[in-house]
Amino acid sequence: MARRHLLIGGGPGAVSAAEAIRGADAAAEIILVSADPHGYYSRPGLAYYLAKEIPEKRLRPFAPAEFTGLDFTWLTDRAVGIDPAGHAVTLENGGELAFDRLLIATGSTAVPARVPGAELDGVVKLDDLDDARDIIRRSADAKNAVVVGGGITALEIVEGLRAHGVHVDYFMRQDRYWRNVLSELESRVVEEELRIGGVRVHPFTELARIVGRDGRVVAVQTGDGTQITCDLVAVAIGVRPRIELAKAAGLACERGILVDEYLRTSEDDIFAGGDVAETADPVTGRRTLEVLWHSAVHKGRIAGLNMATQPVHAYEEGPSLNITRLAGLNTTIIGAVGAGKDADLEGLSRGDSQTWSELGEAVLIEAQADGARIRLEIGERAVVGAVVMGEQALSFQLQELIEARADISSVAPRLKAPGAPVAELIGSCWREWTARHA
Amino acid sequence: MSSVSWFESDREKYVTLATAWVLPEPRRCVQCGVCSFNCPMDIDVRRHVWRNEPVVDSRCLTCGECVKRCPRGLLRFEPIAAGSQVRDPERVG
Repeated sequence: MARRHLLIGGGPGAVSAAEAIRGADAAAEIILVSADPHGYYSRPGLAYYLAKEIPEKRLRPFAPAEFTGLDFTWLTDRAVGIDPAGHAVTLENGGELAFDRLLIATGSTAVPARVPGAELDGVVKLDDLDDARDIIRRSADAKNAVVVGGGITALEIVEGLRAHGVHVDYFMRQDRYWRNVLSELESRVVEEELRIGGVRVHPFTELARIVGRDGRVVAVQTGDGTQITCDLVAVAIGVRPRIELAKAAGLACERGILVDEYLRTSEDDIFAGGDVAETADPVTGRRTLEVLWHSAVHKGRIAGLNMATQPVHAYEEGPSLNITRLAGLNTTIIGAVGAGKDADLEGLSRGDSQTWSELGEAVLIEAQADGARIRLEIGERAVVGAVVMGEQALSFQLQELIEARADISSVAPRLKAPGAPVAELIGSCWREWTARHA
Repeated sequence: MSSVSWFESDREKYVTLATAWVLPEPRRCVQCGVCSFNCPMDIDVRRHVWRNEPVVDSRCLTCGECVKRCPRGLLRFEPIAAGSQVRDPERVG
């Protein structure tokens, strides 16, 4: 009899799992349950939709026929209960679905602001397509907006609002932007680009209260009592994995759902993928959360394979990578590049990895070359992290060198010399390494 | 723009068309669709990237719009590997 796979979630984790299951088992029954009424779309693409660079219809990567080709059932409904022993999931609209294998890929949700007035009409966030539509709709009438928070999402909202002609005041709790991932120089470059784009950047500014009239936002009050008039307040202070369902079912959870190297939860037939899966390094036991598109795809594929076959495919975590746009600057972040916490964020933001802020002993090298601003963090023998802003050619080479933990000790002294031709040296290192591993 | 530079631009395109194709780096792709939206020939570049396949399509002008517009810089021109045989996802579906 065909095995029934139930997938809870409608993002890249669940869809990649469906693809992997179908690839491994042509006869399997696959049912995907998603509470998002808009189906599968690119969550990172919402930034470009907000910035008017693509129309909404382009957010959907697959034509309906392609989904049909995967031969699975997509149910728009909300899973409200899991019975691990009975192998069944309860749905909000009634009914129960039995499963042989279950994947929980429920994603993460924005952390709400905890200030008076946070419930007022005009307080927005950017979690999903409905939120993006809401921001666009409100931007038509809004003149001024205040954005609080950090990481990538805060700037996606800032850029989106500016693209719709809304004046933006951006609050940062400390002296600079994203201080646990970017260097001081990089933060300053981003802040300067924001100012050039007409954004008023407010360091050391805390949102104390949102002021309303007739239930709608009319202003904010800062920690020092200053009042700023605005129609919108956008909150991007981080995300939290949606683990309530798993917790209520008695699955082992901490910040996310705890999984082993096969992405299996504390119940043998239940797997977790995407933002909710808190993975563990099999050697060190160190637990990691990531809110990255590619990690979600990768986890989905591995979980799907293990569900369809046997749990033998291990999830291997490489150095985390993201390429994003910060105030108009293409920026690649690879590996360990920062440390500590960012006061503007509670935990992680979207497009963020916990591992980026776990930099140990390293030598910092910053340089400018060929239209790029480059930062290297060099460990004992290898580059352990890098940030490339602007022209991205070098980021491909750095990605490979960091992922391979390539030994660069032969050029390290020259890299560390003042005024070193960093791009040239990294390029020759990469050519040498690829030649050796061809 | 003078006519000379138009011809030079065409010549560059011709050389690119003959010797190179657009290659993706799927690990960098978030399926945002900017590449497909900006393709003047309406080729679904994003689908090639998802399947980790070069953009092989007889309609591809190698104009570079997708390469230039990708906000994550994951597309690039590469010389076509000799004897390469790849399927065309536009046709296979």
